[in-house]
Amino acid sequence: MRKYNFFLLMSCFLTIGVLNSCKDSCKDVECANGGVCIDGDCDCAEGFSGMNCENDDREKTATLQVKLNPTFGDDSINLFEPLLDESGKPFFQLTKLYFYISDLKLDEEAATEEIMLVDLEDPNLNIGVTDIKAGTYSSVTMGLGVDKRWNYEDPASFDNEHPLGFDHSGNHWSWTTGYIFYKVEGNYSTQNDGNLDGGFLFHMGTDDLYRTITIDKDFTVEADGTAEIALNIDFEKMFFEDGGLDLKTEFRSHGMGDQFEVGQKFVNRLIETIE
Amino acid sequence: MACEKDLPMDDPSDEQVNYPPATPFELEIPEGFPPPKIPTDNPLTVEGIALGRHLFWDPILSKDNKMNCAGCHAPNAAFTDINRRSIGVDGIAGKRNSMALFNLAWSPSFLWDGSEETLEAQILNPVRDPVEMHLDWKTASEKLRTEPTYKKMFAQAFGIITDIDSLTTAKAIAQFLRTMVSAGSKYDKALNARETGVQLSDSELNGFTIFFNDSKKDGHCQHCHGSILFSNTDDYFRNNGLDAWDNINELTDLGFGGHTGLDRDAGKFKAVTLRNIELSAPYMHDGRFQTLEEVVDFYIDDVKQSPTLDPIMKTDFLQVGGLRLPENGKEDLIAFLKTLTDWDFVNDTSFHSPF
Repeated sequence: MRKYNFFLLMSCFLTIGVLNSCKDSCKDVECANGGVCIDGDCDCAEGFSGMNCENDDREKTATLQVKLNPTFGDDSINLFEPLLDESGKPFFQLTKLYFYISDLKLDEEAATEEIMLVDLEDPNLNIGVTDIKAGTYSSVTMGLGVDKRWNYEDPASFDNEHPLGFDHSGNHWSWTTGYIFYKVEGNYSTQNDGNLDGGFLFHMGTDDLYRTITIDKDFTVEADGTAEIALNIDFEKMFFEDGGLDLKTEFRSHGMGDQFEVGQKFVNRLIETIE
Repeated sequence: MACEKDLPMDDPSDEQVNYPPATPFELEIPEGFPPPKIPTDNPLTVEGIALGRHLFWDPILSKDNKMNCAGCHAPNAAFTDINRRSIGVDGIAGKRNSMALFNLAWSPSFLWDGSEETLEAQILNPVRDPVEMHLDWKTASEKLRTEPTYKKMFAQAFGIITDIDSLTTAKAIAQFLRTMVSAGSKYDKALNARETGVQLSDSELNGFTIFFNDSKKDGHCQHCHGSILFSNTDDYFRNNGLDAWDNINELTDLGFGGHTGLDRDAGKFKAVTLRNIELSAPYMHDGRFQTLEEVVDFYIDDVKQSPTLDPIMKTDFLQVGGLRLPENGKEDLIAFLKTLTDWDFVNDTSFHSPF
């Protein structure tokens, strides 16, 4: 009996000893970022590493926004707000500006869900953006318009809210001619008398007028913030400087047929101007 | 898509009957149409649609019990009114031309000025408007509640404990209206010629080209009346140059500008669908044009300047000396417009009176 009791007691002591050891191995261990101590080691939550889970290995991203920034020289243009000449008379007014942008990339990092729509009338629109990895970049590449791999899709085949969907059916010509890559519309004074009696309208589309541009510029995307890419378009350069379009005779193009030549001139000037 | 069946009108006396939940109704979406806008708080049901059809055709919703919705939205006029302005129960004419009722499940907003964002909200107006049916909703609801047939139909559509009021009435009518889909015109059949064997004539094909193209000899129509709906779903409201004016104070109807309160929207109205346009005369928000010929003549050389005139009306019409359609262009364009008439829809008795 004594022997039995001795062994029983020894078993208890051993068990207690082992338990005390387990408890002690995590006593002074602190695991950060949701990690859990097991047998003296930190079992880290996904995305973290290090002895104490102190390393945050999760991809740092920022929300990307593309902003259309029309200007007249150094001055920003507001939609619908007439520009005034030196004598205070209205001479130019922008009433519509939207762009489809395909395959936006920062260096080689894809930054969109392939196609996006930005509209000056709704600066928060920015449909189709994705988060972008934080870091330093040196160039932005984008297609101005709808790449041909989507250009002849039926708007009804997308969700209504998709950039190419039916909520934006006004951006679509037809299944043969595709989408309107961008619209630039407004009014100007034909007589320089303050009356904005003339209109201008450029609706560009078709694969022939699709262009890919690269803008070289160093910029940094901070983590957990909003990174803004501004597309600057100087309308003084577009319409009022040598090499630009003459609104008296070159005030419209739908980019096709007898309007292709003016459309091409508009697109080429836009490529020179946009930054 | 028409409602497949109507509910029996026999013995509605037992108020304690527990009706089963309303039967879901799936709207058949025509080929090429996008997803319809069906609000989650008013899904389509067989019972709701049947109730809505009855309410649409029943003069019970008018002050004098003589006028129903169909009085200003007649089937043979594509559910519009042949009068320039509709006359209400008190003999007073409304301000604007009655609008066509079909394909409303794809409209982002309602009325000529877009002032109602939902179909349910829009339906409330004509019942209570003094120049239309002139019946307040309190009285309208009481009239419906005293009708045993409607007590049963409302219970079947919305449940036994749901009150009969403006909301449930508008919901039912909205359900019925959403089933009124028009996509079976000659043009639609010609798009599917391999199966239908329907072809457009030479004149109609010429008109198709004029409608959709933008050269100097074309009509540029699709910019405002494009898509499978023949009406855009954005940039819905335009000033198409009906009137010349310099100052907003000259306008008797601000249109979209009256809704938004913005000067830049003054004189803009909805660019409506051109489907069934052959049947929905007179034309424009005030019904000023009696025939399609008058409409085309206006666009050819009578577009007028104003501060909010749409840029496309300047660049494609005023600044280029008006439209320069080819020989027989006007006739061909009108011939094409007539191919947008859906006789199957107009003659579908599922949308006609159930009484």
